[in-house]
Amino acid sequence: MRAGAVEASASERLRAAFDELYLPLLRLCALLTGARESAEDIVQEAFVRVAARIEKVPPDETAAYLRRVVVNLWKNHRRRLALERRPYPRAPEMPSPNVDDAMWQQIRRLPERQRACVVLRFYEDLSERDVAEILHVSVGTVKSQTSRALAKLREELGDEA
Amino acid sequence: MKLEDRLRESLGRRAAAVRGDPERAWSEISERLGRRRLHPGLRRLGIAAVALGIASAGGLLVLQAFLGERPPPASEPPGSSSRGVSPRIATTVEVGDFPQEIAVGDRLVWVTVSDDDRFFLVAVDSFSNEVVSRTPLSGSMTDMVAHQEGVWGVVHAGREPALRRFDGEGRVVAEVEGLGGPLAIDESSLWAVSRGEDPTSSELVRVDASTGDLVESIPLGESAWFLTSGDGAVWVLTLHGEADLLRVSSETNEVTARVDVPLQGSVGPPVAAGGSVWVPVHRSSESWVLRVDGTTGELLGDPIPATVTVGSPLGESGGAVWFFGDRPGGQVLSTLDLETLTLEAPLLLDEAAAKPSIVHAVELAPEGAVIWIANHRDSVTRVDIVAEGQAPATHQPDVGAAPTPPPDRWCNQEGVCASLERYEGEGRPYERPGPEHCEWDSATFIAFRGGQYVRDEGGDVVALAEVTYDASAVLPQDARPTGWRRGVVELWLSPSELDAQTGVYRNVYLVDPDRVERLPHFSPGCV
Repeated sequence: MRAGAVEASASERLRAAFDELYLPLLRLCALLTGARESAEDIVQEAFVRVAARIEKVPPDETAAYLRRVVVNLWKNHRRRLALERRPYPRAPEMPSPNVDDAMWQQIRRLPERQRACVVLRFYEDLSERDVAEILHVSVGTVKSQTSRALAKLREELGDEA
Repeated sequence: MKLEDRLRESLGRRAAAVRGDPERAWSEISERLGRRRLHPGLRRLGIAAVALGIASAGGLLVLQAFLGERPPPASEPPGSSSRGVSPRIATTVEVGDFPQEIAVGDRLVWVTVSDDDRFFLVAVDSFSNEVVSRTPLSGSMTDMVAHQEGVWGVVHAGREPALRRFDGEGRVVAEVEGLGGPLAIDESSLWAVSRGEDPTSSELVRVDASTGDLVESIPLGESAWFLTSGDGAVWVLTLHGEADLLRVSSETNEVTARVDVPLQGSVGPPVAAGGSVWVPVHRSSESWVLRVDGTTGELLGDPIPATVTVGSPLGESGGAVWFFGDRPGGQVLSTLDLETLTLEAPLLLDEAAAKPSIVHAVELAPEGAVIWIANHRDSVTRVDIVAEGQAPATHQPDVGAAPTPPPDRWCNQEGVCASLERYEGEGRPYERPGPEHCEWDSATFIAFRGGQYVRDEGGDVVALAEVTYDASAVLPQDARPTGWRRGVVELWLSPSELDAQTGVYRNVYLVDPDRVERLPHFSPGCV
C-alpha cells in the first residue's frame, strides 16, 4: 500500500508538472532549437528523466529544475549533432515565421550561447545570475554574450532596430 | 521601439505560434515510463542475469524490453545470446568544468574542458587516476587522437585550424598549420585532411605522428567526412552527393579500393575491427551496419539490420565491435559480435555514469573492455565491462590485493593476459628469448609501450651496446606500476624516463618482493 501510494504521488506530481509546464517548456525549447520536432523530443525526454526523481525535487523548484534539464538536453543535442556531422541535412523543421521574420531569422543565426542568453533573458525574463546558473557560465559571460548578441542584431537589422 | 523590447515581442510571438500536442506527448511519455516500470528493479536483475550467463530467449526479450529496444526478429538465429557483460564503475576523476572531448591512450586519458570561454587540455593518469597536467589552450580542440604518451588534436584558434601534438606534460611538441580533422592514427602516421576553398574537394595528408613532418598528400577530389585506420590502410568516408568508402594503402599511399555505400540516409563513422571495416548507416528510424573486407575493400554480405541502437562505432574489444548510440530514454553501448554478427545492447550509459548526467563522449580504452566517459558536469568516469564468469577487476593499482597471476605470462588487473606466442600491440608486454643466431638466447627481451627492453643477466647483449642492465636497481621516485604482473613480478615505469622525442621509455623495471631489476631500452639488431 505504501509503495502504491508513493507511486501514485510521484505519478500525480509528474502529471501536474506536465500540465503546467509542458507547453512553456516546449516553447522555450523551440526558441532554442528553432525546430519544433527536436523541441518535442527534448521536452519529452526531460519529463522521462525527471520522472524518477520528481519526488526529490521541492515543488516550488520543479519548473526551474525542468527548465535546467531541458537546457542541458538541448546543449547536448547540439553537441551530438555537431559530433555526428550528419552528412545529409535533416528535414526542414519549424516553418518560416509569419511575424517579425527578419528579427527571428537573425536570432536563429546567433551562435548557440548568445542565442541561449537572449532567449533566457528576454523570453524567460530570467536574471543574469539565473541564466549563468542554467548555462554553467559566469555572470560576466552572460553579460558579454548578451551584449554581443544585441550588437549583432543591431548591426544586422540596421535602422529597423 | 527599443531593440530589447522588439526582441521580447518577437520571441513571444514566435513562442506563441508553437502549439504542440500535449495529449500525444503525455501518451508517449507514459508509454516510455510504463515500459520502464513494467520490470521494477530489472536493471540490476537483468544485467546480473546476463552476467551469470542466463541467456535464454525469454531472458533476452526481457532484457531488451527493459532496455526499451525492439526484440530481435524471430528469424534471428539461435545462439545470439547476450555477450554476458555487466558494467562496474571503477573510478571517477574530477577534471573541471565542462568536459568536451575525450581520447584514450595507453597510459593517459585526455579530456578537453571548457570553462566559460577558456579551454584546457587535461591529462589523467589511468594508473593512479590523478590529473597529471592541465594545459591552457588558445582555442577549442577537437578530433583528438592519442598516440603513445601524447595526443594530437585540431586547435581552432586563428583563421585556420592547426594540428598540435601535446606530450604527457601538456607541452606542444609538434605543430602543423592549415590541416584539420577528421584525424586517424596508426603506429607511425597521423592522417589529416586539407580543404581548399572548394567545399566538394579535399586532400588526405599523411604526417609523421612523432615529429609532425609532412609525409604525403593524397588528392581525394571529394569531401572527407570520417577517417579510420586499420588493416594496413586508412579508410576515408567521402561525400559528393553519394557516400563512398575509400581504402588508401599505408604502404603505397594510393587508393586501392572504393566502396559505394549503398543506402541513402545518414552515415556514421567507419571503424576497422576483426579484419573488416564497419559502417553504420541510418535512414529514418532504421539502421544497418555495412561490412567491408579490410584487405580487398569489397562489401561483404548484406547490410546487417540493427535490432538495437547503433550510433557511432568506438572500436573493437573482446571479440566485438562496440557502438555508442543515442535514443529516447538514454545513451547506450551496443556490441556487434564478430563471430555471430549479432547486435546487442548491453549497457545504458546514463546508468553507468557516476552521476545522473549527460554523457558527452565515450572512448574504448585500448587495453580491453573498458570505457571512459566524459560526463556532463566536471568529471570522467572509467567503467569496466566485466565479462561473463570473470570476477570484477580491481582497477586501482593495488597490486598486493589482486590475485597472483600465473608465473609464466603477463596479466593485468582486469585478468587480461598477454599472449605468449605473438606480439599483440604496444599496450601489452610481449616477452621472448633473444635470438639464437646472435647468441643472445640467454637474455630475455620484453616489448612494451613501443620499446624493447633487455634482461641480460649474463651480459651478452650489453657488451655490444651502450646500455646497462641492473639486476639490483633502485626505483626512481616517480616510478609506478603499470598493472601488468607475471607471478609476483610487477612491471613498472617511470614517467620521468619517457623520451619526449620517441615516446618510448628509457627503462622498464621488474619489481618483486626481493629486488628491483632495471631493463634498458635496446633496439638494434645483432648484425
